[in-house]
Amino acid sequence: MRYLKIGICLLIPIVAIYCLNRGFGSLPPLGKLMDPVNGFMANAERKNDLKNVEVDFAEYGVSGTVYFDDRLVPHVFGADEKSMYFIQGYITAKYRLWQMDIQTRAAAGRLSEIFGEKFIPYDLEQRRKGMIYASEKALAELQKDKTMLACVDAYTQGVNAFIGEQNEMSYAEYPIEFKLLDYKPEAWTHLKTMLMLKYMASTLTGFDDDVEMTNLKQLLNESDFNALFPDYTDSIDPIIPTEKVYDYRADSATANVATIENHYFNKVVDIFESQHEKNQVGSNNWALAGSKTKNGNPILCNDPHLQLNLPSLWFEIQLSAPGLNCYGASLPGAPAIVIGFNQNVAWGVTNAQVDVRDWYTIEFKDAQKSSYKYGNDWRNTTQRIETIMVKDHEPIVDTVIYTHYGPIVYEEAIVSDGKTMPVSANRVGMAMRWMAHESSEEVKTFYLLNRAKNYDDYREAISYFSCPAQNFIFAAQDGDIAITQQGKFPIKFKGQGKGVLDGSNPLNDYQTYIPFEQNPTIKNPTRGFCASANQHPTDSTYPYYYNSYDFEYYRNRIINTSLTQLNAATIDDMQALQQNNFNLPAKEALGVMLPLVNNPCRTENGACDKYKALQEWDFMNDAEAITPTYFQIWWDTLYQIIWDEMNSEKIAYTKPNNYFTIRAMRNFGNDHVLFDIVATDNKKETLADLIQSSFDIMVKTVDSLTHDDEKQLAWYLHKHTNIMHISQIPAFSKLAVNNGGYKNIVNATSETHGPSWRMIVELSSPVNAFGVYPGGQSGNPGSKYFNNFVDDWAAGKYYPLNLYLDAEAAKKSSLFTITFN
Amino acid sequence: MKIIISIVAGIIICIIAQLFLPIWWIFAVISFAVSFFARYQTAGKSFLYGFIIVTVSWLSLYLFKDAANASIMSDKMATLFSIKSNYWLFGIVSVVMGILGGLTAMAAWFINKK
Repeated sequence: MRYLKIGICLLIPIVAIYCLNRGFGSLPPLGKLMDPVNGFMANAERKNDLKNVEVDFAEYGVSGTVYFDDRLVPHVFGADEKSMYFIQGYITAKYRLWQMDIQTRAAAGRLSEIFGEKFIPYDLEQRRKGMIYASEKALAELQKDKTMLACVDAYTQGVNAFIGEQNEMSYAEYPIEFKLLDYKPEAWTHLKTMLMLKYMASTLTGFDDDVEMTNLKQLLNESDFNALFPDYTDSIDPIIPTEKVYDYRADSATANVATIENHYFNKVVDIFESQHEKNQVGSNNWALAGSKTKNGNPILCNDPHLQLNLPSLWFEIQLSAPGLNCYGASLPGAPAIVIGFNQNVAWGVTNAQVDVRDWYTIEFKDAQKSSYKYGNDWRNTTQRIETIMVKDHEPIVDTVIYTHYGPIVYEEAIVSDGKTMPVSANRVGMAMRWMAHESSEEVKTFYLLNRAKNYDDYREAISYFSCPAQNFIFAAQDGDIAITQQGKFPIKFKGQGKGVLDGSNPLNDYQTYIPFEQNPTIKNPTRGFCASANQHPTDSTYPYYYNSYDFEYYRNRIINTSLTQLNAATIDDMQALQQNNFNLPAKEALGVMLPLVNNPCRTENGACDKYKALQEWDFMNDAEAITPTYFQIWWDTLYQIIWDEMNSEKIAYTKPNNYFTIRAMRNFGNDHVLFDIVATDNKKETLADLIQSSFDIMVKTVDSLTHDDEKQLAWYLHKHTNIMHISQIPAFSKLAVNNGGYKNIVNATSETHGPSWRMIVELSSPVNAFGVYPGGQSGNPGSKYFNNFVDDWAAGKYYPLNLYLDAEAAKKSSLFTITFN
Repeated sequence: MKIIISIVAGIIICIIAQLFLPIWWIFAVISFAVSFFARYQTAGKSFLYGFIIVTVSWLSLYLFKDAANASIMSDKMATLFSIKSNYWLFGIVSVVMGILGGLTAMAAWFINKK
């Protein structure tokens, strides 16, 4: 009996401890996690634990000091370049290690290792897109360049010095996410840095609508197709002002290219699942010449619109070593500063939005797929074996077939046990040609920009940049401003790559590339400013063909109009413009919509006040305003019913963007066939019918919302901008951020995306710069620096960005220091 | 008096052990050992004192660390686990661990009772 009691009293705790010491499925080991010393409480940073620290890395031969200011921005002063990049790696890992780990895993298609089976399709797609293949090519290129290799070497060493040579971080020291997801940090590698850059390339250029366009060409007649998806319109306001004369022609090297007309497939591409997510990435940047500013100094502004997450994509840092001193936003995982400034110049980027990803149908000789038709010959394929490790599951082994175009992305993947694995779409036998697969040296661009002193340095720096194609804006203290659309662009015949191409015809292949000098660029334009907001790079006089999955048609007009009118511009003017909430698409849409609604104010009902509010609206999407909510519900409803014929469940289509939708509403005529609702066989709807019915739906929707709580109608609550933790844990996120704006508005804050880094740099002496991003320097949810910028960002505040000229100045305003010797 | 001393000593030992050993379940060993050497009167009392030692140790560690952090971390964890507040989280975990500690303390009592 006694032994039984002893047994019970010991067995229960032992079993409980055993269970709490291990994870079950997605549940982490709760005992370890709840440990008040080494568990999650180890991540509860002491609020005032900011002591000066000395670390000894003599074995690496690095020395330098980091001064942290009151926003936890590190001001790195390295004894030499190597020390500086080492310290950048070390400090970034210190604050963002888990983010670096998970983003590079996401890039490489290694999430199943952590999250299990449900991420196999995602991982397969990353592998099949050739993310690791592309990164390996970039790495091979890096290894040829001694300077760049030394830079990446130092960064990698720095990260690994933080993790520890033998990965000796203790459980207590792990970032909280490792504890929650129950896995360990692993050593950093050069390949991971390459993966991080390819991840950005994928974020910014990993879209296209080639299949959708091919299908639309079958759905729509030619005149509708051209009206809804044209290459140019009569009213574009391009990045390169129309004053620019293109004194070159697509020259002899390309003569053989321009001979054939792209023939869209004469049949629908038989797939359903559309790869085309309506792309939400975008950005604004502009540079004013001294002649347009109050102090006579050039001013440069940039706000890249990317997915807003915690920890933020950006890590603010000053990098200083003999020979360079710069400040700005860096990408955790890559050395150098991506968007920033030094004492002489400032630079920034927006996405080029030009299509650099095309699809070729491949005709294989046989089921082995070992060769494919190319002209009159058969070319051999190569194979790449991708092994995906899966938590609590057998590894998945996938064989990806590569043609000279690139990988066959979509087909049934054969997995190790002989079963087939459905991939997210079924584009059987199509090869992807993507500029991100070309060997390139993007780090070098940033490395050189960080040191640039003038316009020539800027041009040389960006010449190394291939993908993701960007609009590089530039301003220098000596007065120059410039913008260049830089990337590696194939020379295309008209229409090439707008739809799917026949890969067996060599004429459809890329022949050569636009020379760097002939990429769209302008220096010191007469209008006194350069600007870009993801619109067309040029007008139609540009000699080369290009197309886009999504040029932007609104922000550029607001920005260009504002900057044209602006004289004696100040920092305040720039802040106001970056936060401009004017909803131009709403203005243009309502111009068509309101006159077509039966005036509800003739009879007494609840619709009248909404109608009146829309009539009197100043088109500002301010956070607390209610009218933007009316408009958006109305517009979303209308947009869906206008393009109902593109809601196929069998065939992939993309819908015209807002701009061409509004144009169609204006120009197509009230009873155009596309306005008819397909589902109603015996009734023919007109545009006026659609506008009326969507208005009625809007009124009902708003009334039902008001029923619960009138406050729900405030624009920011309806829009609901969530800055989600990367792991999607709501508890670590900022939900319903109080901010206005929307897609197609200069303040492009949507549900998930927005200005991820707002920067304004006046190139005075010394430089006068301001910036903010919706996050915090620390990636630790247990730190007060985790999300401390978010509210200021939402309220439109900026922080001064202090580029300290020497260590003494940095020391004066530092909270604490880390010394490396 | 002896009981109070044993409990206070147990708490101190438990806190120190938790602080310096990377074994989260060390409390179970300590409450066992304290009970074994203190030889409490009854099995029930052994359980109670073991429970007190562990619960108080864990709660103190939580509260001490939490105060220095202004609850930034614990609030998030409570939300993550859908628990009302961080103090509820501390309370629930400490009580669960207390029960486990109480059981090992009771086991020690049964072992002593020849």
